[in-house]
Amino acid sequence: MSLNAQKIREDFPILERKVHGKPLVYFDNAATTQKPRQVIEAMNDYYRNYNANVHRAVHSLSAEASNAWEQAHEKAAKFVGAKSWDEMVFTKNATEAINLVAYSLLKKQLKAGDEILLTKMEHHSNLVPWQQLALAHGLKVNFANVRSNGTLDTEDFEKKLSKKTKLVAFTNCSNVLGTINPAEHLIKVAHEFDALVLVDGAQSTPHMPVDVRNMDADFFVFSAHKMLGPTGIGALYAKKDLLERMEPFLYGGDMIAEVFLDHTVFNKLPWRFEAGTPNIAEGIGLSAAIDYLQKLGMENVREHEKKVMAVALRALHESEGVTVYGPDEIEKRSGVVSFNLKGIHPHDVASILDRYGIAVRSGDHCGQPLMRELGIKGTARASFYVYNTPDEIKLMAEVLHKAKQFMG
Amino acid sequence: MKDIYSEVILDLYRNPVNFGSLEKPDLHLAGGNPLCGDEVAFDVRFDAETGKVAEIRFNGQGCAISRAAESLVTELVKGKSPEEITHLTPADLFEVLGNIIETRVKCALLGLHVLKEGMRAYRNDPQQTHVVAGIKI
Repeated sequence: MSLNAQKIREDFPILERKVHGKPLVYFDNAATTQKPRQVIEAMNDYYRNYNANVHRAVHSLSAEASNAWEQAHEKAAKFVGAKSWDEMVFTKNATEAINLVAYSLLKKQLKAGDEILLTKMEHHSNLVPWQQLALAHGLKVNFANVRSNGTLDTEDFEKKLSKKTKLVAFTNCSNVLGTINPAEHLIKVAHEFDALVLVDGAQSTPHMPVDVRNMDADFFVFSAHKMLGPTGIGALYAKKDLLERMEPFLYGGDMIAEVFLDHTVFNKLPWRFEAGTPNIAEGIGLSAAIDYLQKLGMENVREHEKKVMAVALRALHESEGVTVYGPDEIEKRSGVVSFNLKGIHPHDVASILDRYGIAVRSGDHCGQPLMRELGIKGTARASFYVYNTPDEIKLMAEVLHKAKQFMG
Repeated sequence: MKDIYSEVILDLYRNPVNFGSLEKPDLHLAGGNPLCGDEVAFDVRFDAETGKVAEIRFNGQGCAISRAAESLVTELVKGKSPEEITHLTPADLFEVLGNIIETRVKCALLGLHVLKEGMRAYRNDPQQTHVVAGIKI
């Protein structure tokens, strides 16, 4: 079934607004997506009707809030194919989820001399935590190369695995190049060396069916605000036996079962990893976003983006003086396309598009090492979602043509 | 598009004044904006008697707004002493450049920032070093 983007658009109040007198064309979905009224209303409903802290009180409101909070975990777990909801830890974003794993593993599992394997296409959020950990604790970080066509050099990846590799972390989908990495294969070879594997699913979870058990990820992180949900909530999936062996990352309320002056017994999973009052409304918002996406069907979301991307790639390739980065095969690419116009700085491209109501990102996209690898300072980046249409792409192509004439 | 890119900016972007470099400059200043990767470098020659800027060239990589602003800044600092340059304000630049849309103000200020910080470092250095690099906005 194909998505009806026009119908979907009616659910997004923000798409009615104008920017510089022009209808908003929102192509910055890899940064954050817009929110349907179903999500906004679910959060409002919590604040209006059952606002209370979770897991604290015996009164009715708290029970309702706790139920909604737990249900959100259950939905998130099912959405990515986890076995049960106690494998799903909520954090404030994917970055915090990665830091949680990094610091928690450091307490017991990682030690000086161990190696971590990343790729050169990681977002700063899946690079800086490991790099800083390594610097402070004597670990070594290796990076698998990226081929000139924007795909991961899997041979190099395999070559850099060794008995010393204790952890492998890579992005499921590049936020700059759109490249979809072969997660199952990478995890399989990493497991042959007994390395734990963390998959950054921030750019895959919103756009395609994800199954953490099929890919056999040990850790998988994603972020609500990139999948129609609110900011302030992210998630970590981890295999239950791993979570059980891991030391908590943050300590405080809600993560405890019993507290004595000299020791504490920690709570059961997943609460052991959720210290303090969480972002309750945001968790409920994520729950509503998952409902919305499941109604559309993730296969259909993926198909829709492939269609839009095909139109975008054709338009950009046909346009003179445009360089497109990342793989050409639609199957290997999510709904993200980075490009440059010859002789025009990405910020100028983005400012001109903005004047026509079109929002794209420009710069290094939190991937400075990758930019250096590609030998460029930055790109303009258009990233699509369920409400984007081929007509919007055509408009972007027209404005890019005008930009070339104007700046040339 | 004219509301972002005034004639002043477009002219200077296409035909930048004082673009290039100087042979054996008295002072070389370089810096950039790490967030967008823009880079700019200035070569300065001082008047031997007055110590004021006699000649200046700029080069680097940047967007239309940063290039136009850098070009204008070179004109602005001619005939000024290092100390006078450290007192220049964004308003002095915008007076000649025109207004810049909010999201791009930093692009316009890169050149001025590098020149001011560079001149400050130059003045504070008893060795009167000839190169100040790595200035970040």
